[in-house]
Amino acid sequence: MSVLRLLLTMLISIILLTGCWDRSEINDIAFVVATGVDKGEGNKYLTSVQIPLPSSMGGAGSSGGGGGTSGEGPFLVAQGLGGNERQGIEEIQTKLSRRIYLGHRRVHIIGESLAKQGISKSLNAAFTHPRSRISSFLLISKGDAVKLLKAQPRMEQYSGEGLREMAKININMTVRDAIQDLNREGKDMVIPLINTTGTIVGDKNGKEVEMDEFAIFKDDKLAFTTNRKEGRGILWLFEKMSKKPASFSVTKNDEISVQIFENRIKPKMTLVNGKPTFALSVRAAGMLFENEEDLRIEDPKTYRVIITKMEENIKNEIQAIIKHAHSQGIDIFGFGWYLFRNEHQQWEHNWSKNWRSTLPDLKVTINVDADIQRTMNSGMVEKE
Amino acid sequence: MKKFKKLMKDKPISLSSDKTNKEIQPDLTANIETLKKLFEDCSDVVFRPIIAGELKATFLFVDGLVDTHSIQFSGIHEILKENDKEYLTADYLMKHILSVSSVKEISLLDEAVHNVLRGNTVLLVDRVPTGIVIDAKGGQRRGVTEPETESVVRGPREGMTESLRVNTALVRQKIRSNRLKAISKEIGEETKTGIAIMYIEGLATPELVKEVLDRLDRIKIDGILESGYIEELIEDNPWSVFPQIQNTERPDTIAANLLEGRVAIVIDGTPLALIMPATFWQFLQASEDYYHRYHISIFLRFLRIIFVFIALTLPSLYVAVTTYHQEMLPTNLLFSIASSREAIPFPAFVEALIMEISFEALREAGVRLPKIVGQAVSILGALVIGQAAVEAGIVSAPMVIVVSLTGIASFTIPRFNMAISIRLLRFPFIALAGMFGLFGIVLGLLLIVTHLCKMRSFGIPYFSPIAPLSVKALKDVFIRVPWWAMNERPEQTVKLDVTRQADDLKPTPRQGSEEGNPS
Repeated sequence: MSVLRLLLTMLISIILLTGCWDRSEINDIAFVVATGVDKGEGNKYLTSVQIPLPSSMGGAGSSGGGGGTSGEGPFLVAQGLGGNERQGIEEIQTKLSRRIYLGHRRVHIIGESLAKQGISKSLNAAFTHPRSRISSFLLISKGDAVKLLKAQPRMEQYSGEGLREMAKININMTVRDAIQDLNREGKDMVIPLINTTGTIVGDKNGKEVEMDEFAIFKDDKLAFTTNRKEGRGILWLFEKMSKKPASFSVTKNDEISVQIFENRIKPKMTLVNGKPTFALSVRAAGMLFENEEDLRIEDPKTYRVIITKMEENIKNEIQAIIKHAHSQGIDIFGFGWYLFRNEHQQWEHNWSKNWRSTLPDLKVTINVDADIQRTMNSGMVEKE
Repeated sequence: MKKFKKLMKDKPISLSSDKTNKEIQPDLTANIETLKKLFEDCSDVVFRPIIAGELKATFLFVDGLVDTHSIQFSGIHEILKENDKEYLTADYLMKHILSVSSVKEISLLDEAVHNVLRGNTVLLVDRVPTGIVIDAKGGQRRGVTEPETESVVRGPREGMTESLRVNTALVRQKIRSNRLKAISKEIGEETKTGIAIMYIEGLATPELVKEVLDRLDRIKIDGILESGYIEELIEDNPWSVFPQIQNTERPDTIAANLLEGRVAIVIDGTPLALIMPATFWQFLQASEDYYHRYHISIFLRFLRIIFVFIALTLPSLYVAVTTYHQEMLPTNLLFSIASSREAIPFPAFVEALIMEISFEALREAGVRLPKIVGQAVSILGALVIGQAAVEAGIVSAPMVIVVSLTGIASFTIPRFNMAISIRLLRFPFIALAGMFGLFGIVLGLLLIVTHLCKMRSFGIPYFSPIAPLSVKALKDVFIRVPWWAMNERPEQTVKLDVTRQADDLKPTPRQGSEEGNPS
């Protein structure tokens, strides 16, 4: 009898005392897919969130599909001002009927003005929050971040999804990577830079987003943004060129396009007079995609010429970004980190202290070993 | 609780047993009178008096249970021819006159009653102090047909019937060995149901056979109408939802299990026989696993294990993940679930319960209904539950998918009794998930696994050979090794004679022989 009574009491108290009451139905949650932080007035932050609206996303049983053409897309962008990011979100919460849920944030965008001021606080906020993923992609926006959240790419239902896809095939920079880079000695952050654009050239106030430049950081502050050539150099350096095309001119007007499928970088360090010098050996292989001049690539001599041009081109691109960065004392490749790992004693005693000032004089030679391994058609060859 | 137990204990066992203990008298009329009193108002009991000259006799049988044709021509007719004799001994009758295959002499009236009720015919002759039992059973019984609950694509098509003799014969036809024993017993004070305990001597351990017999002897009940009565009366853990005794209506399944040292109980009046001991994994195996090629058997066994898990936990996982762990779903999947759940008025837990219960109701309705109506019900159910409910916004489309997948999963379990256990356990799991999320599901799984590991079936751990682990026996659990590798009988059941077959049965090109060696 007593055992039965005890069991019954336990069962009832288990149900009544625990569980159940902190459940939250999907319909009561606002899933944030992308957040943006901008510099607000004074020392404040302007936090913005992008929340897709399930009711207008066109699932079975829900009313209506997403009408992207007119007015607003199937998502909501809300903004809140606060002394820190969390406060900003709390302020947004006061305007929303559903609980804000950061567990599905996939993209975190930091505005340019804030990035110039320093982003470590923002990274810390993203890292500390228990429900936020540190695998969210980190992006820097040209201008205000909220502008990107409000953009409506036609391909996707909301810009967060599009940005995620683009960030994935870019250098794949996540909050975690950024935090790691920030805490590593002799390595600076490189974060993709995004901007709004149109799909047609000259379409300035477009709703699309583009991602073809990079924001280079010195510590946690934005130092400069790259141009196109330097951007390609970054892709080569980060081994992210595979599946992307590389174009270069062989003669004056005609270009060759090669789709890269192999891109490897191997740094090598030698000490000259007690100073480290680096040799970067770059391996690149690709498939011929376009051959404007109808060069006979089967011919060894012609092939040699083409390859030399290709290697030169790659070398130039890499050199451009390294030079630019090193001149400002920024170590984008992480030569210092290489030394930290491989020559730790010397790094600690000799180099670490004034690494940034030695960077402009750091000698980096680049050896490119390129290949065109496959061709679909080697070009039309007119019969003589 | 204690009071209740006491009440149960003190209740006197009052089972009717109106035995006369009378011997058969030389006086026929006296005997007939006693018997007529016993069979008063039994309109189906026939007393057939005959007078052949000086000889008076009475045939006594139950109409419908005996083969009247053979009684007529081998009994009545033969005796009527003997109208010149004044006196006949029972011995003479049996040896010279009655031309039926099986006769027996009895001396008690109780025995006469006993035999008449089992479909035998009793012959009482005047001035003879014994009776003669003529075994000429007949009567209508369903013929051997294809088993409906365990149909196969490849394998024998015959299923057991309601007749004990036919069933034992079907097994005997598979195993033509004198080591195949069939101990017969009778259970049920009123029904006197005949059962046969079948096993192969030398394979089944004597302790197991003795245990089975002991447990059967304990049964004091008025009637056994189906194998389920016996199953519930002899199983090890009567409180468990899991079946601890396998039932089958396939003689080949019985034969296969007997060959692995198990014991089968064949019961008169039902086509389902019981097989014991049984392990958990046995219920996930179909007889066809051993008939098809082993590749597909292995695939199917893995599939079943996955689907057992799905049948048990999928609705609860859905409830747990959507109400507690939204971060676990891929974002895009989450949004498609969210958009279809947008208009749903119920919490996921209630939604799951509604759907699961209506699915069970639909299934139950389909089982009980006549076949012709059944089709209408399934159309109605599919339309109402599947489509209209979603369109009306009562339940969400993902929930319908979850429920139907769970339903399909529960039908992949080959043994029906295990399938219903799993189906039943789904509901506590949904409740656990609704209360505690994934934590609750893990808790529930832990409880179930602990329970399974704790149970035993006739001396064999229920979860073996996984717990306790026996690597050797794994050849026939998740996988089924090809027959040429199945060299030993399962060591859990067979202790004495482990070798099943020669160990070089794998077909290979013949080496070193004169013919057929191309190299």
